[in-house]
Amino acid sequence: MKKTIFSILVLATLLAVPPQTSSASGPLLSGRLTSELGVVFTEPLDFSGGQQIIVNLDQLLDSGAVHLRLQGDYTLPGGNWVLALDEAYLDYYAANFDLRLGKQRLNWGTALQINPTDVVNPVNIANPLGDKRAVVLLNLAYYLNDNWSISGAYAPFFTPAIAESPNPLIELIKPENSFENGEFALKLSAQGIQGMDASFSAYRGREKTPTPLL
Amino acid sequence: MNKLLKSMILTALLFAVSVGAVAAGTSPCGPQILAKVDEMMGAQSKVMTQNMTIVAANGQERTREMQMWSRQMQGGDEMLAKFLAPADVRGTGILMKDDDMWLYLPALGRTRRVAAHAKKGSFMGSDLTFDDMEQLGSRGFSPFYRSELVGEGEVSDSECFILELTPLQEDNAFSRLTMWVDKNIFLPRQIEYYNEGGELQRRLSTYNLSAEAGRWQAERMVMEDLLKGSKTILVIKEVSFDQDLDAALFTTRSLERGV
Repeated sequence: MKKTIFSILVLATLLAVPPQTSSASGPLLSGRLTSELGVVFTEPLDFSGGQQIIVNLDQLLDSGAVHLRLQGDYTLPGGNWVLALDEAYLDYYAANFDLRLGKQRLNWGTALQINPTDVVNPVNIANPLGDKRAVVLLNLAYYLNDNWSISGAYAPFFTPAIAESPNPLIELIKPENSFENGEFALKLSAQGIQGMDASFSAYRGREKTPTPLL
Repeated sequence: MNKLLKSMILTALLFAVSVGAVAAGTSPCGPQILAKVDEMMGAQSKVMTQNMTIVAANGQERTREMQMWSRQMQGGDEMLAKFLAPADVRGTGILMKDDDMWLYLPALGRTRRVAAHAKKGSFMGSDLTFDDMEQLGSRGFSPFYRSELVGEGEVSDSECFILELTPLQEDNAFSRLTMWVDKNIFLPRQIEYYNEGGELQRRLSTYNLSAEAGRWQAERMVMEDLLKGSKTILVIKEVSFDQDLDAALFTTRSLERGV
């Protein structure tokens, strides 16, 4: 049967309070509301789609910052709103280092999609081209000078690419949360060296996509 | 001795000669006038908040507010620009250090190196290029163009010298510029940019001239793309000169921090 599916982006808008120009200003609230409607031309018509709302709250501090990102998803037909704290972290800026603690995305590499060194956050299987899944991390960047820096990250809890097993008959086995099972990543970066940027990174962790045990 | 140092010495010499020529009441030559323009527009360091309104050919307008920090260094100029508003571009930043350039997009959380040839391209969707931001911001025109006085004229009731500028390097985006320079305050009142085909492609006009700490500046600049029909309006909200700017400000670390 020939089916045609139209996905119509009904609404995508940005919500924001008027931004302040001073860096020591009050919190900034921003976000995005997206509504999508898909129509399958069968008899009767079949509708699918949903809404997504993202709300960001940012507050700059004297020597740091706080960031919260809430995400709500509603899926048609007949779905419910699912709300989640997508990101929540605290930044501390010192003279020679920056520290970020909390649920976050560690964006290593500079390309938009294919980043071999961007291994700490798992891909979101439900939306492989979208944002990776945020994980709880301790992330430290130490700046040797204006050109060289060393970054280290420690993830105490394992986060797989999928939250739940797609089949109740298949059990999702996760490693036990312990310091030894935590994941480590280290990166040495150079920027603006003879017109080039370069980085070297190492990672000790686990495959994020579950593999069947035979 | 590097190129910048040479051009700075040349600019200083030309400025000294031009002051003498103007004081003596004689008509200065093209390089002297351009050196005075650079002296008037440039600064050891500059902090500026401005609104950028981009008007598309169909009349659609987008206004962005940004803050810029720049300083002149021996090894090359440094500039950091961060967008403050609207919310969808807030935090987007650009860092330029001599010929290196990086772009930070907060939605991606990544800093990306931008190829050097991109400096001839559009600055954040506007009718200005990255090169324009550098030349109009702090670096001036003398390092990039040779100049010749080709006449005198009037723009916006200002008596002007008319300079013809031809690029020193072959890879310039424009084949020549015609610049109208106010005879009294040595600010450009109008610049016409001709493309490689010899067509008049863009026109920059300056308005609302005012003096800040003994330095004249145009509070409003309009860059029109005469071939596309679009224009970009820059309006200065705040500006300060010759502040002591920390070197750490001009790093990718600073680029990635919030505003």
